[in-house]
Amino acid sequence: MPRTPHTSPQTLRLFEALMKEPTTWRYGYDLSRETGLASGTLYPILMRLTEQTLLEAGWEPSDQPGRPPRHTYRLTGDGVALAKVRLAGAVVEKAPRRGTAAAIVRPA
Amino acid sequence: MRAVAYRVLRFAVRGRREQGGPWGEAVLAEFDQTTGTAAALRWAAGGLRVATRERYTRRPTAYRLALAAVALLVAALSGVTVNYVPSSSMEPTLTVASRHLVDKVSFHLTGLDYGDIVIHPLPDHPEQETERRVMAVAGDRVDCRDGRVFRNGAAVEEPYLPSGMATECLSVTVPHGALYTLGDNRDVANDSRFSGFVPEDSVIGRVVLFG
Repeated sequence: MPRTPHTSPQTLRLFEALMKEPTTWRYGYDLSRETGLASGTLYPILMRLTEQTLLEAGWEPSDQPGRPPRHTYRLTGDGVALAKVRLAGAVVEKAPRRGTAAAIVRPA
Repeated sequence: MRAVAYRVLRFAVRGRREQGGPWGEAVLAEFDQTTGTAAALRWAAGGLRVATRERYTRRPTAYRLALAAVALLVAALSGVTVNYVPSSSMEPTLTVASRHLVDKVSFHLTGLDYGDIVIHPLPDHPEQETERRVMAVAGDRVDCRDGRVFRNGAAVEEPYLPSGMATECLSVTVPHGALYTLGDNRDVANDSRFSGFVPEDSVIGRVVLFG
């Protein structure tokens, strides 16, 4: 069975961070720190989401003169909808698994 | 250390260009935000991954073709070579100063056959590589009658010889691990009739194309 797209733990962590304030433009480095993902993990996910128009990217001139403009990101309408579905799905999937594990650890 | 990491990343993103791809540039622009050497190195290392990924996905076919071409070149250089004939002992098949393609690999797998033209050093002058035709292999009996070569009592068909070319040789049996090779120009070739048997493992390659 093919894997459902955008359900990896890393992507879910990114969705979680972006969904805190879905309308705010976010910087890559801040997202990296907030999710704990290395740039080599984070940016490929950002690239994939942008390709599928789930994420929009823009350039924002730097506040310090002489510095290059910074890339910023926020979820599109589709992206917000998908993130909600995926995050909800992850919660549902986690709950029963935890239940069974607890049952094994703690025999009644 | 930070500066080195930044330069490496910048080179990976831009190369010699003024501006790299948007995603590489995005990672590069965020580099300033990192605090400390470890974080900077981590950021740059991830950036390298982003830069290669971006380049690769932009032109995947071109990259695969380039990789395939390089692989082919390496294989071709190690397995096939062009040889130059400075002698007349294989005339008229290979003329003096002709060039031909030598396959150094496949004969190890397929083995040699009667009539194959092989490259090997002369047994009595090991520094001199030469090309000769395989006339007999280990266990075969070779003798000559009326200017023709007989292998195990049967006359060998030699359509590549010019008419009137006669061969004279002594009767021999090829020992284990050896070959009996002759030059096509029987009047001048210093071949197994004079310099003796050729050790099988001294064969360097087989001529596959000449002209």
